[in-house]
Amino acid sequence: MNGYMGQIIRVNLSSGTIRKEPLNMQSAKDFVGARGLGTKYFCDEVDPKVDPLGPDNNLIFMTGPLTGTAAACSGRFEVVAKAPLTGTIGAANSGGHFGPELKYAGYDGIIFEGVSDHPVYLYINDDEVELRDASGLWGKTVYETTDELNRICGQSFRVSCIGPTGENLCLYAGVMNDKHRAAGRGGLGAVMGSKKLKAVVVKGTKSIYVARPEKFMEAIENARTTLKAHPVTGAGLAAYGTEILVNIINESGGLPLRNGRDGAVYDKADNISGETLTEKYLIRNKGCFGCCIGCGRVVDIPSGPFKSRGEGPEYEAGWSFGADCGIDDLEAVCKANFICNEYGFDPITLGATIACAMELFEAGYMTEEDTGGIPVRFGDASTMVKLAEMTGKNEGFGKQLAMGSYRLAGKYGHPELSMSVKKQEMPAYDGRALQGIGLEYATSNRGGCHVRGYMTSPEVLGLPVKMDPLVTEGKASMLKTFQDLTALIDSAGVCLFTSFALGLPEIAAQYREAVGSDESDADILLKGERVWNLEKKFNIAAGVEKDTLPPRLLREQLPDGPAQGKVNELHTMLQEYYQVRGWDTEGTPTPEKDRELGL
Amino acid sequence: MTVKFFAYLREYTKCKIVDFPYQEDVRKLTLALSETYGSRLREKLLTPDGTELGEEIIILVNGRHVEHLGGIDTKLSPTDVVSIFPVVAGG
Repeated sequence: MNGYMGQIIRVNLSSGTIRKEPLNMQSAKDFVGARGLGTKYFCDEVDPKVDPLGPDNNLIFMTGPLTGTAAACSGRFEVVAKAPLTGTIGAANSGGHFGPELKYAGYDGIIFEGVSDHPVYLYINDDEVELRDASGLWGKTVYETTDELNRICGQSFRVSCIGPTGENLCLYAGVMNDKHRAAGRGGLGAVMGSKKLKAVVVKGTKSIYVARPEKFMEAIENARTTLKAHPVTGAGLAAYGTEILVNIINESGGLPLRNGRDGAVYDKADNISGETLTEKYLIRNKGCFGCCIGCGRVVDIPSGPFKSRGEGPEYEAGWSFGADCGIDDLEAVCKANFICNEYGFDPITLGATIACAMELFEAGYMTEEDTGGIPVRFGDASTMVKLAEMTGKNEGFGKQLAMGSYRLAGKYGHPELSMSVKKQEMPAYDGRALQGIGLEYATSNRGGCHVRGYMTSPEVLGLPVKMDPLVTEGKASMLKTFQDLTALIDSAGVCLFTSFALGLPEIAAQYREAVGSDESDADILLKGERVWNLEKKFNIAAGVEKDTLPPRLLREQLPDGPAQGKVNELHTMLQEYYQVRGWDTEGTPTPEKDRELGL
Repeated sequence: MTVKFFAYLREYTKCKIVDFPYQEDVRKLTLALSETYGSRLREKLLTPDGTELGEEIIILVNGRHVEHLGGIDTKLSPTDVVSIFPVVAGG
């Protein structure tokens, strides 16, 4: 099939052997690529009960058939492993330029098995593939590692690597690429660190062939025209970045405040908004490979205690270090986000874990004896940044924060204060004010997550339809469609943000013409459903806990705002969701559904 | 009544928030705002014939999208807070 390079690299880090093998084309057809195909390879080869940080947990980098092509926003690839934070399937998507470069070198993906006995990096220069010693890189930050590898290998190489947090097995370390892009959630950087794999560098000169070039270009032109004409993808995201959401989510009463303890309306939200970021600190916007949206932020804090320069923050980080910690100092928020990029870990989980610590401390469940003499209180920007740095460096109380909020809150006897689902922290939308996003968190196959079926889009933004965030009707069905479509998009190798403007027909058309398929839109969407069900079946086999939400969302009424008095009515949506999915009442895919999907 | 503006709408209004003379419904409010702040805002707020809300605008009344209230005919009270956004997204 066209769109693919037809070959993967298999690296056994225990023995140091490297093998090239043909891509499993049947799996590629059934599971598309990237997230889906990586998960298929993973599930075929790894015991669901595997220790995520043990030698038998494979780590997979996988591109999609559209990755690196002329398709709009086609810089995406996926990193897949069993996630140490959650124990679920871990699939984390990233942009930048690394994924396309891997295809230009001639490979759809890389599977890492085993554990090296010393730090190594994988060097790929077209057909030349070798493991090299990385002892001199161990301990270096993401920026230092990238610069050093570019110095050694050449400036044209693309680098994916871990920072110190991955080496130190922080449970939410990410796999970073192109310095500022992240396969961020679930702790896949810790898996990489456990294997003593510091980095992958790649350069390639090959071409990607598509099946029907003329029709492919037509489909792309159509998609790009639509993206450029849309007010979100053609203007809003470039101008303000994702931080533009702060004010609208807050005005809608859904911006969780101080670990969700104080509701979801923050009277200082505008201070940490996209408008303020743009007005005061934005240098320029930035896109990934093939991007026509340009949501990335290059930001400079010119002076003061948080003087720094970097990329971001995204909306989620703006919230986690901002409203969730009761902080409206945008310079501190930016600094904490830059620390995450530099040390290579997930700002959503870090900010939410600090917020959890703040609540534990203020409630008296944790004292200065526990924190190494640091008062950890909401609203203290300097302490928040200090804790981010301590976690990045694995120092003092930072070692406890590196566990994530679930384990931290559990250690101090109050697991209910962890705002997490399946041990992963929920992002920046309160499931009491947005009923559908609550259902999404509860059912996400990788724990609390917003990019597994972005219900905020219909519930607040009115895209593609306007749904009342306070009601439960219709949410199950819409969520299933969003989850399946997202799985398809992630698997194809294009950016999820294209779906603000593009629907299934435009996305399916690009896939069809690239690989030479004559499948219908519905058949192609079914591949997304297949991916979703495969992930679910892995989680069940792994013994992952049931679909639910933190007690706060189910029992504590919002104190103010448009959703005042609301809790998440998960019980009224969950059974409907299982029914829509063709699963039994316990949330297990039925044999009939397995047969339908060929699982 | 309080009216808040967000994103690039602030460029049109030159303010983030205004204490605006009370209007009895969203239709009258959008027309009055258009009168006060000019054509660029009007183009976003309303369709060219002025009968419907524009497709690229989100209007919240006390945090609730007018789509889930009474649309352009949503009744207003003098203490209401109206928040007006262009269509935005992120995540």
